[in-house]
Amino acid sequence: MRSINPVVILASFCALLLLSVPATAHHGWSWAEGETTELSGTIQEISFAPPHPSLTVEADGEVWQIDLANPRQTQRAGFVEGAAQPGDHVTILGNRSLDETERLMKAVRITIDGQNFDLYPERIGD
Amino acid sequence: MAGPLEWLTGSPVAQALTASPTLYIFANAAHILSIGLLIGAIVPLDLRIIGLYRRTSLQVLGHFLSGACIAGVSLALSTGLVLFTVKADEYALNPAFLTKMGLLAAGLTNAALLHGVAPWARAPQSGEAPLSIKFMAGASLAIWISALIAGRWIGFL
Repeated sequence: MRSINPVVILASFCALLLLSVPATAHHGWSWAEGETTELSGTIQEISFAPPHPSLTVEADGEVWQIDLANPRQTQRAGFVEGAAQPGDHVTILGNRSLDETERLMKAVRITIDGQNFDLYPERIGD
Repeated sequence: MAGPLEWLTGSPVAQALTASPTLYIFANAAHILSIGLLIGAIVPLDLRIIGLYRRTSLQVLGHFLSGACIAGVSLALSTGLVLFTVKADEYALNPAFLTKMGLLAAGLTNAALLHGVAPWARAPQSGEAPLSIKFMAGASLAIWISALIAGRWIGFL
């Protein structure tokens, strides 16, 4: 009896791996609302750590996670170490998670002390 | 308790990777390359032990591929530690990361046991591994592929 071609088995493994990758992710925008909304609050924490810089923001007694752009885009927007401090007031324009129980937003623009940091300039209408 | 994790996150390695996205890209690529080497060697090795590719000598494949696996896993561990530093405290609480570390421990233990009774060392002339060894090779396949998936899962929680 001829055994199954090993190539078929390897290809099946690869197909299985591709299918196992969850469809939802913080990459892209599909997990977030189509409309941008604004959120104002106080910065609690700032993380520039790759692969995803983020802010922790307290707004109306709730703690939000604000995902910024990838490290390079975030730098390009001018948001670098020293640009903000915990305790600063921040306004975030961005897209909220479709899951309303999640306090999670993907920022398009953040404004601190009158200065705009445009993370995704092409997504800003004005 | 959080002492060593905080130290890692504040270490010069973590600071350099945070300051330079380009450096992070290279560290990340090196980790993927190492995993590629490990999986690329262990999948054919396990399949050969299980009983495929019978025309190729297990003695030849065993020595060659297990060497590649050891190189791959060593590089994956060292590059993984470098990547871990950037968010050590967060990763240490990430369920997918913890699952991956558990699978890594299981995979290494299984590999060490299998290597100890390696068919290419024990029965070099035989093309066929005993059933118990085949079972371990099957477990190895399942463990390493699961570890890969758990690793990919870390960023999606």
